[in-house]
Amino acid sequence: MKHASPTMQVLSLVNQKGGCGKTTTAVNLAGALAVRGDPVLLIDLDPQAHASMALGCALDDEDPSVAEVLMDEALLVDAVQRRPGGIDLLPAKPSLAEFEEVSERLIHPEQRLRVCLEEGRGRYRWVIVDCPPRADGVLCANALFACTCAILVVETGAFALQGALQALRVLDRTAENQARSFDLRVIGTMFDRRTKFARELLVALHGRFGPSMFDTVVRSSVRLREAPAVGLPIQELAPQSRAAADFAALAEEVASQLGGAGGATDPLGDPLARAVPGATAAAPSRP
Amino acid sequence: MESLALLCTLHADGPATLRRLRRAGCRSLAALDAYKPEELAVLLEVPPSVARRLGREARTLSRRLDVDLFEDREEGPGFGLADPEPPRSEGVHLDRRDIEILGRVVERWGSEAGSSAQTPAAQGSQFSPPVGIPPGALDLLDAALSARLAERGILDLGGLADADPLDLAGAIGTPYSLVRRLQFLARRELELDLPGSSPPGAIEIEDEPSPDGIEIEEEAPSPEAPSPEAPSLEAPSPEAIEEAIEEAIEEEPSAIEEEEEEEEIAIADSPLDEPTLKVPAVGTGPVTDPTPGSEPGGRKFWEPRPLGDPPRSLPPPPRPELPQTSPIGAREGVTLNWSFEIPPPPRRVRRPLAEGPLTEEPLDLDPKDPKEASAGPFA
Repeated sequence: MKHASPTMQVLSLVNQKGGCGKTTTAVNLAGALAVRGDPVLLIDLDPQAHASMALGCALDDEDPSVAEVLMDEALLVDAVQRRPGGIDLLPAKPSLAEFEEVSERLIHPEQRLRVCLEEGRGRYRWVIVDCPPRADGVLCANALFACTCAILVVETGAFALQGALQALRVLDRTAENQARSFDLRVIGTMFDRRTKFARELLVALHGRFGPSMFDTVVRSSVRLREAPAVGLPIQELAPQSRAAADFAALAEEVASQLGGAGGATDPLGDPLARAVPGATAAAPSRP
Repeated sequence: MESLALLCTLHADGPATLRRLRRAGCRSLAALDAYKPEELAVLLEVPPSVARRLGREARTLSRRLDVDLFEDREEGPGFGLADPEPPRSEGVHLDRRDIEILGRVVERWGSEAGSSAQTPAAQGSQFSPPVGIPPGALDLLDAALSARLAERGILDLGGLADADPLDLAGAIGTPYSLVRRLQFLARRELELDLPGSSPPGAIEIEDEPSPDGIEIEEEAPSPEAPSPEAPSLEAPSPEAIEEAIEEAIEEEPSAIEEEEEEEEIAIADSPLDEPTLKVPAVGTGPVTDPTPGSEPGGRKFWEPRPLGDPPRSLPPPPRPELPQTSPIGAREGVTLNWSFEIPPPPRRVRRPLAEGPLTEEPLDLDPKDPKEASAGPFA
């Protein structure tokens, strides 16, 4: 499905808790949106670089990554790689962890990603940002500052609500104090309906988040565990699987609810233009 | 998340079932309940028993969400299109269009009744739309947003601050971050508007004005600040200590002895068989440090410990003896004699593979029997 006037939507997948399915959701949601025909950029903002590994991307030390892009040492177009499933990937390296230290010497370090994404405006319909587990770090702040919608990934497990509420607190502080406009949606992952605990937890999540929660819940699947091992999104590995159907439904829901013209409106205007003069200038052309 | 999607995730095949139901026009649990099990089985291409069970689970979930969690969450556009139930009456929430229509109706009623023969009811029915938070009361709050908040029943800053941001963002169709920002600003405004917004502890005395006409602001004692009568908890300066020592030396010894006398406080109604209890009177005892941290050798707790003096260790409090049997007759713990040690693997007797050279014996197949020969050795 091609859009006549694509508006870039930036979706940041966040949670304070690790291992709740952020990377799996990011990779396969990007794959499902790419299957629909939308140009998708997946940004791996986690120093563990699991999203890069899940798409079979292993970088050398001299290869540009998201760290160099954030530190103005490389252009976005130089660092982006085309991966299986039609996904453009901005990969990460473990050296991304140094950005936390480098950010102390930068002006507005939390706005670096937003500035860099201006380069991709008009090229990508969807930008999916896989955030690190630490929701109150400068990397996650970059993701929240750049996004039009923050998606809270909640695993239907024992510590799900605790991690979600911690992340929600961070999101609240960000929303209160930053001059940014983003929406908030919730998605349940790793759902195993055979366990009564997971069923009860899903009912509780429905009661807590209500209409902000996506109708689609990603069910746990062996195929989803296998896909990163072979470096493919689930749409390439097992397109007829239940997990692929889940992500297709999720992509449809995302496209219908978040892909409207403009998505989340920005009532404050463009704070980037105020904070970083010249940041909204035309993106440099691809060499 | 719609309750129908929740049902399909919990008790069916998730998005596949949900898509089938939506295609058939079924968009709510109540609509699903209207289906007969046979119809549902045909629709979902499942056995009737599965369809019957899904209907049962739908009724259970509907009842449960209505009681515990429903709270009018599903009011999004398009919700319940095929809902056979009548829509819920919500007298509180009125659209702007409804308000205008009602206003026109009320005005017409008033004109028809005539100015001379207006009934009290007509006189009192001057319709006014709900007055919400005035636009501009908060940064980012314009007239449209204020009207939308008023439609949701949020008429003041307190209501805005207390609202659930997720619900409110979905209800008025604004981004979540804007709602949070408005709530933040509303809370800040409320904190500024509080009557105690003047500096804490400042009390204006209005009843008894000073003769000079000057308003007196008296510092109220805060719980943290020590009162003037209370002894200061800060460590005295060395000069103050020396002065106190000199004063004590200059006093007569008899006076000190008198102060050291203990007053007898009689406890008349004490049930204990102790007629008197000797307690040193407050403020009349010897000058000793009442703090438990004072050293027995006269060194105060604020004085530095001399070099070589080992740090004083407080004796541990005596440990109460645990009763051997439960005082309330609780059941004694039973040891199940479980052993968590991993048992060693059983020793296997190693046998030699072969004593002598293996002799290869040919299979005893008799080629005379053609049936056995064709069937093979495992026939």
